[in-house]
Amino acid sequence: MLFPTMTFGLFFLAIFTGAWALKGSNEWRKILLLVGSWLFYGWWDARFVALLIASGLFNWAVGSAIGGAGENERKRRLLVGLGVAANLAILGWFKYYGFFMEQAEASLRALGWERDLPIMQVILPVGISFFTFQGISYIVDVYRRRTEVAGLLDMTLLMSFFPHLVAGPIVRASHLIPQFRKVPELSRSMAAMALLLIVWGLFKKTVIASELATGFVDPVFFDPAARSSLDLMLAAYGYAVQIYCDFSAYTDMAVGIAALLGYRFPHNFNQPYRAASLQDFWRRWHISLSSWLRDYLYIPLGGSRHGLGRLCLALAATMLLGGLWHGASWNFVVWGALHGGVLAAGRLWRDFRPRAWPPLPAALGILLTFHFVSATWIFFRCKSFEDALAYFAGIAAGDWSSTVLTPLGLVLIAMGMALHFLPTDGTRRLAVRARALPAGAAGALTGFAILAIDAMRPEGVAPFIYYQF
Amino acid sequence: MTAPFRPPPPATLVETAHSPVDFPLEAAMAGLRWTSEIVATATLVLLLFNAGAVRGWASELAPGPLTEPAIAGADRWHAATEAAGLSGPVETMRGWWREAQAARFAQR
Repeated sequence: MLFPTMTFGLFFLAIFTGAWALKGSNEWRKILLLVGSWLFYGWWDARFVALLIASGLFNWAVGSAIGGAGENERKRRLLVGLGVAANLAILGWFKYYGFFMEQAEASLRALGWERDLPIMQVILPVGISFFTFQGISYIVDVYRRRTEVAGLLDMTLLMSFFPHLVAGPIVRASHLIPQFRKVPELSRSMAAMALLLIVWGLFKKTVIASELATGFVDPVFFDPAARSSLDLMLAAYGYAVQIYCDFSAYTDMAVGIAALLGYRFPHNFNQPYRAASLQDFWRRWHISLSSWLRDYLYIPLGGSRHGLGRLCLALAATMLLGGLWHGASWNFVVWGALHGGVLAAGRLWRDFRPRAWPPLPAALGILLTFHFVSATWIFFRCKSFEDALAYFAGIAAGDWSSTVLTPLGLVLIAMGMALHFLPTDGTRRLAVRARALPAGAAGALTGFAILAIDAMRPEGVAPFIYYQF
Repeated sequence: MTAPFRPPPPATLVETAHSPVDFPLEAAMAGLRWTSEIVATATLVLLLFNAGAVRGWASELAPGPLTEPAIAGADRWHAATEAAGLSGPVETMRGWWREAQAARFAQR
């Protein structure tokens, strides 16, 4: 069930009405949200609802056992280790089994052992990377005593709650469980902001991202050999805008939908293409994942506490694994390695830059960071490493003679970039104005805005890019 | 004995807890009724002016005893709104969008 569809609209109307009708009983309200979330997930493939429930039960049981172990640190360590390992094993089976078996078979063949390994086609459950990370963060936070042990209903709802279930943001137990403990309030400001985020997200996904994808980016990436260097270059910019508008739209709608039910989700994007360095980019892009990687991978690997060498290793390893989190393919490994390598190089440059040299002007930093990020998105978008290399070779060929980009495509790319330089509090200011409107006027404006967006959307809506992760 | 709960350090809390829908410094105005009226009005606007989308959605439902009345109802509703001229605005906007899609840069 995709957010920008009528099926989801009807589903949400029923959930919204039911959840607020049940505000007299927080427990029944949460049960409705939980069952609704399973229905939402089961719409895609009912078989995996059992996996989602089992994962929630397992993480709840491990968290409770850690909490029950009191001061027995050995037992607590053992339990957290087992819990994390089991979560990673489930993720590994569904997401990486095929990839690693293929690599093993290729390695054996290279060594002269011609054996067919039993490679099964494992279906990847939507959102497994997100809800597994959520489960891991819960049990680690209980182990670190940063969050309290959650009840069964709260824990299963935390992992299954439909607005964030399939593509984040990764909402931590310490953030959402306290909100589940009482019936939430819905203020006018919160509702106005939520509606703006939903409408804005719809526009970014169904107009900017979908139009760019179908009209320009997909055809160019499908057959790069038939395109000019100018087209390849513009399609790389187009994909940078598309992936931002696609993913940030999902987040905006998830935040807005949760807010209409009374819950607050964290910030996940902050104008990432205005970052003046790669470190800055990762503070602005998919914030809930980058802070997860920092807290549960980079810092446990040593972080900045053991000298510069260890810091660079921790950075590289974190980004490499962060790349692999996105998918079982060498392209994601290369993408992560490039980001990790440049982050480490940036840190070395910061420490060893000759003092007499002036720092990089901010505008140049933004330009360089954007181009590095856009270039690495090519690995992200291409199906194979060879395809990505061929794409770069096409750009380097230097054929700047023609382009198939339309004026509309150019306007959408420019608009996607311009969004990064608008005032950061623009939506908030608009929400403050909107909350003063009478409900009828605000409703009519919302309806006509959705109507206008619907007139511009292509037939059907492609799934969000991050659904595949 | 259970070990004491320690809240997360401030930096982690701030970065992971900040939400775009937070308005902490303003007095909260109760918004449930206001929001419900907005949702109802927006739904009505879409039902009136975008019945084509409702019909498109209904036509993709698998035919069956439960869905056939919905499909027939969506068809009738679409015909009624079209006869009343209510599908005009969205068709006009769609036409403008198609013109924008069809535009090309002049070839040298």
